[in-house]
Amino acid sequence: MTQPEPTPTSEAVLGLEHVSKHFGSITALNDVSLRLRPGEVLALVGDNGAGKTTVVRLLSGLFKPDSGSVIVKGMPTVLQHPDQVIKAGVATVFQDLALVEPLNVARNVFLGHEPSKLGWVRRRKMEHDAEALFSSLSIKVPAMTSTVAMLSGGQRQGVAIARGVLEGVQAVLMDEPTAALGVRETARVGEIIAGLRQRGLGVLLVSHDLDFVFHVADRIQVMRLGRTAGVVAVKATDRSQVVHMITGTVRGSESEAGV
Amino acid sequence: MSNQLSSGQVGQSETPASAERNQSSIMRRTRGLRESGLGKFARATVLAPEFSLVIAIAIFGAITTTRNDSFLTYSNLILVVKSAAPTFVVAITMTFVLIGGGIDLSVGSMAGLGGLVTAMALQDHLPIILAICLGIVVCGAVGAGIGVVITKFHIPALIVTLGGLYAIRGVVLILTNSQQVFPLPSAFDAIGQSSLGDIPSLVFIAIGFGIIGHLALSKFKFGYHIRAIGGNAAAARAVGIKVDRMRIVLYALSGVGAAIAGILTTSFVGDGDPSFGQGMELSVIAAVIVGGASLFGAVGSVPGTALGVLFLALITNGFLLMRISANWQFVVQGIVVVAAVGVDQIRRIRIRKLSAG
Repeated sequence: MTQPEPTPTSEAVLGLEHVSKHFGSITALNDVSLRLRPGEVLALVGDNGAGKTTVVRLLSGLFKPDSGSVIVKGMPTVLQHPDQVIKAGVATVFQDLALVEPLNVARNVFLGHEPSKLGWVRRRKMEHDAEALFSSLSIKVPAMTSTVAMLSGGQRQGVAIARGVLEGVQAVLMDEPTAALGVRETARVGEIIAGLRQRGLGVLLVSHDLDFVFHVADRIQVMRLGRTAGVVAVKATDRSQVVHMITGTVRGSESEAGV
Repeated sequence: MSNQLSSGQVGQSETPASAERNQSSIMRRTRGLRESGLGKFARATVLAPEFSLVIAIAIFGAITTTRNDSFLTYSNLILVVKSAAPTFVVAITMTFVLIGGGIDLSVGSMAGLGGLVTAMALQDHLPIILAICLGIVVCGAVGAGIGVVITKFHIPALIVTLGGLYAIRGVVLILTNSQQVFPLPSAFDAIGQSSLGDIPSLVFIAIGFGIIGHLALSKFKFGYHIRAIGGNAAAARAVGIKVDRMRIVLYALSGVGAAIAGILTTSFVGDGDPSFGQGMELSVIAAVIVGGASLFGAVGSVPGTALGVLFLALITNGFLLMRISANWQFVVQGIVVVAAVGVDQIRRIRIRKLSAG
C-alpha cells in the first residue's frame, strides 16, 4: 500500500467483498462480505465449519480468495504473503496464539521484527519497548524476560495481542481469544479489547463464547455453512436470535441492520 | 495457582514492591531475576542448565584424579581439549540445527568428504587456502541440497540425512578408491599440528568458531530466528520469517561445520582417510544434547555444547587413564546422554507443574 494514495472505495479498515473460497470440491466460503470499521468491535460467530477460520486466514494473507476481494484500509488488495498484511497495519492473533513457548515475552512480542543494527539485536531496547507497549495497553505479565511457557493463558493472550498491536496497526484479528481461559482472564481480555477500540482500532473477534461476544462487541456477523446468515447490532438483538441464526432456524436481516 | 498469580500481577494500583511480594516463590526460584547484585548473579549461575554439567565434570575429574594423578596436568588436559577441537566445530553447527528443530546424521560422512576433497585438491597442487575453500564449499552445497530435499519434498530430516550418511560415505570411497590420500604439504599439516606458545592452534581455531557461533546464536537476528523456527515454525512463518530458507541455510552450515572439522582432522593426522568421521554424527549429537540442547528445538547454547563436548572427551581420556576398558566407555557415554536428557526433562516437568498447578 505504498502507491500514490487512491481514494478508498470503502470505509472499512479491513473487509471482504463477495468472497468465495473452495478447497477441492468443498466450498468453505460462498459470496461472503464483511466490513470492519475503525473503532468498532465486530464479532464473527458461527458453528464449527461455518467458515470463520477461513475468513481469518483470508484476512491475514494465509489464503487467497478464489473470487471477490480482500479490503485493506478501504482498498481492494491482493495479499501475497502474511508479511504484507502486517505491513499494511493488520495484526492477527491466532487461535493457537502462535507464540514460541521456550522464548521470553519480549522476544515473542518482537518475533521476526526484532529491533537491530546490522543484524545485531538491540535486546535492551527491545525489552524496554516491550515494557512500554505492555503498560500502554495495560497488559500485565511478570517480566519481559519471563518465558512464555511459564505464563497463564490470559497472560499469553496478552503477549499475543501486544505483538499484534506493534506500531502502526489499524485492525486486529482475534481468533478465539478466550478459548481455554478462566472467567477472570476472559474479563481481562475484554478490557484489552475495549482499550484497542478506544484507541480507534478495528477489532474483528472470532469467538464461540456468546456471553463474551455480547459483552464486548458492537456488531455481530453470523456465519452458517460458508455464508453470511446475518449481521446484527448487539444493541438491536439478543442471544436467542443469534443462536437461531447460528443454527439456521431463523434468518436474520441480510443488510447491515441497526448501524 | 494461576489465578492467584495473575491477580498478583494484574492489579493496577499495586506498587512494584507489593507485586514482588505477591509473586509466587516458584517464579522467583525458577527465574531468579528480582534479586540484586551478587545474589542475583549467584542464583542465575546455579539455575543455568550448564551449571549441573560443570558439577558433573568436576565430580568426574575428582574421581579420575584420585585414580591417576596425571589426569589433572596441563599436558593431559590440553591434549583432551585439542582432540575435542574438531568435534566442537561440527557440534556448534549441530547445535544450530537442533535449535532450529532439525537433526543432521550426515555430518560424519560430510566431515570425511570435506577432508578428502581438500586432501585431493592439495595433491593436485591447488594452493592451501583454495583447497580448504573447495572442501568447505562442496560440503556446504551438499548440505544445502539436503536442506532443499527436506523442505521442498517434506521428507523428515532424520531420513534425508540418514540417506546422506550412506550416500556421501559411498562417494568418498569411490573418489579415493578406498585408499588414503598422502602425503600432504607440510604447510597444510602445520594448521593442525602447530602450537602458539603452549597452546595448539586447533584450540584457538575452535575457540574462534565458538565465539562466532555463540554471538550469531545469542546476539544476532539470525540466531533469534533459528530459535523461533525451532520453537514454533507456524508462528515464525506467520510473522514473516522465511522458514524454509532458514532451514536450508542451517543444513548448509552443518555441512560447512562438518567440512571444517574434517579438514582440521586431516591436517592434524597428516593424511586424508576415507573412513574418517564414521560414527562421528552420533557422538556429536550426544555431546550437543548433553550440553543442554533439546531434540524438540529452540533450546540450547554454544557454551553448553562446549561443555558437552568437553565432558564426553574427558570421559574417554579419564577411562584411558584409569585403565578401564574402552568398551565400558561406551556404556558410560550412553548412560550420560540419557541421564542428561532425563535431568532436563525432570526440571522442565517440575517448572510446568509449578506454573500451571
